[in-house]
Amino acid sequence: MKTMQKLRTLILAGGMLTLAGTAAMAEDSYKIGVSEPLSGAASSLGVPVVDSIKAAAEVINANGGVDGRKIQLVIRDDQSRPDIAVQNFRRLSEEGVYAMIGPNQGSNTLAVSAIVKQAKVPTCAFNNTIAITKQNNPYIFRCQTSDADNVKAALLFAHDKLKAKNIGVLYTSDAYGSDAYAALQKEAEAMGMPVVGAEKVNYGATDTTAEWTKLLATKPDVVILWGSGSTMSIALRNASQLGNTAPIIGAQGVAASAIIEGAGAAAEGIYMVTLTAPDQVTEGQKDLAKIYKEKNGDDYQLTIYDTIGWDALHLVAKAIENAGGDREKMLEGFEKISNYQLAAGTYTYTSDNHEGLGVDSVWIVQVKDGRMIGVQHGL
Amino acid sequence: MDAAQLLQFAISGLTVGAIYALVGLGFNLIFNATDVINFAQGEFVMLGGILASIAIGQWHWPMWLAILTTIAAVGLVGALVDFGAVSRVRRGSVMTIVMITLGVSVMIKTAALLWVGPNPLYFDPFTAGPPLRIFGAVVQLQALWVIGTGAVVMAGLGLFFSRSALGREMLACAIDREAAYLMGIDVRRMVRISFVLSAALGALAGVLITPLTNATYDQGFTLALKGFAASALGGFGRSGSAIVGGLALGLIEAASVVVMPSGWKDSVALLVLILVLVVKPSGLLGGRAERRHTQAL
Repeated sequence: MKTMQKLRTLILAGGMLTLAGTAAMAEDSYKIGVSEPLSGAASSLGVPVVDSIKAAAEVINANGGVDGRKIQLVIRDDQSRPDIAVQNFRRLSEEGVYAMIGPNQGSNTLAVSAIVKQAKVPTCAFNNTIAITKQNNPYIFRCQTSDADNVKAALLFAHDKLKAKNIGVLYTSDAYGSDAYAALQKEAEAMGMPVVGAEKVNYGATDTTAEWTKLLATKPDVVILWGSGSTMSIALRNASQLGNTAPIIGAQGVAASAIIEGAGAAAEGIYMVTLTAPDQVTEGQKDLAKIYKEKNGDDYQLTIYDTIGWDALHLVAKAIENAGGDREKMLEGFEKISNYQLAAGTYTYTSDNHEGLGVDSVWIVQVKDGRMIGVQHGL
Repeated sequence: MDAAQLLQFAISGLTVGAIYALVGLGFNLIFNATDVINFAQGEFVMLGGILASIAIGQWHWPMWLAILTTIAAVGLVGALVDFGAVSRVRRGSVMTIVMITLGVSVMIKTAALLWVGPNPLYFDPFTAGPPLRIFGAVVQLQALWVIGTGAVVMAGLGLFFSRSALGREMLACAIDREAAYLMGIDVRRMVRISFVLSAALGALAGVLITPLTNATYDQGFTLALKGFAASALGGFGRSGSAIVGGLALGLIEAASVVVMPSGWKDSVALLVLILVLVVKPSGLLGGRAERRHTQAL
């Protein structure tokens, strides 16, 4: 009995100590909330992003933190689901975080938008979805390129480098594809390149031959392929089976190694609009590349997900610095970030531009011998 | 739109239709024995595709070994579904078992996601080489495999249900379970065999279509929906109906791309299905619709 009591006291005391420990830690550290898909359909994006956020935190803290105070990450899994993302954002904002990082899916960002606005916590969101910065919500900052800029880059490349007089478009009927198509139509018209054919396929479609047949009958100079997931590698195979010779420019969603591998020889020669060229290390990627090569071997090539998580935490750190460590001034802190060169590109935010990256950060990559090779940086 | 393009639409419609038909055959098999629509059928197809992709692409097994092992493994999964869930329900209605198959499909899908992740898997077509060209239209060699195997399987199933003792016993269970039981037929055994057979058939479908469609953890539902639609369009309860329904559905989809904006493809196909069922509820070929719906167990 006696020993039991002693044990209990010990445990209690221990618990108090840990509590006191976290309290002290919380006081002289900046808490940053992270809500990312660590399980579910989008986990292949969320896991590397969180790893790179952690890598950034280690580096920032090892160099003395922000103004001498350490960064403390509070990481939550949103299970790739909007309802869990909303829960995470609500809880994290109640915990008094300085900023939020996430979500990874555009629809989830739209779902948490209202809470972000209500809690007034600046949020770094990793989406191409054009609409996320059009919510009349000053607290959402895009830490990716907008698809408005991505389609512009694709069209500029088609026009200037591939000398296209007209274009055809194959896109998915989800928000990712159709929003980009709407932006593309306007942009192409402004450049004087008519869209001669545009076909829609469903996300997850298992055959696109009929759509390609209709599209290729319009004889486009260049085909723009906008979508994500398994359907994109099927689309590349179908196009090659039908004997398509028009160059293809794919979206960021096409520039995934699983899709390129799945398309095999059919992916050879296609171009994609993305934020990293696997074979090249830019100035802003040097520190990050060094850390990842030490961890994963010299052959390791940075992916887009390795870079955007790293960038997001550096942006948050910069914003805290700009705000002088005052949580109330975080919004101004973000909007003071200007020409900040990081791994995925150069970020600038102002009170009426929350896009962060522009066409100058876009990479055009091309598949050669099954690997993605950087062709052009910035358009 | 020239003749070669029209032919191309027809060929791509038939290719897709053959896929739907193959998936639809599995639906019919369990329906024939149990009166149950097995919503995990699409998951059997997905599992077949994923297992074969891993065995061929990552373990570098010879193709015949990978295919046979895949079919056997998924057949075993079918047996487990019956042993672990379906056979445990005493006096369950058809609806109860349908709900069980829905639950099973979610479990299989989640397990596949945790195991292989969300990226698409793929392996090369059975016959290497460029696609065939017929009057300027392109036929993928794998599509010929899908259509050919589908025809063989349909003929085999037809013989099985009309000639073999086992097949006729299964059919008897579906027509009247209690009467079959009173005639000395082991109803539970028939249900188990039908689950094993349809799972194996699903796996075969998955293996055949993966070089065309990729295999992803979440494609089961879409495939099941189309396979179900194919069976319903043809008329539930006859092996030939899935083939006719599947090919018709594929052609309707391709035709809708010719005359309408392509985003409407799926809606048009399902709209036609509804129209056909309103006019002729037993499907194009006429299923065994007038039959009394019996208790499942």
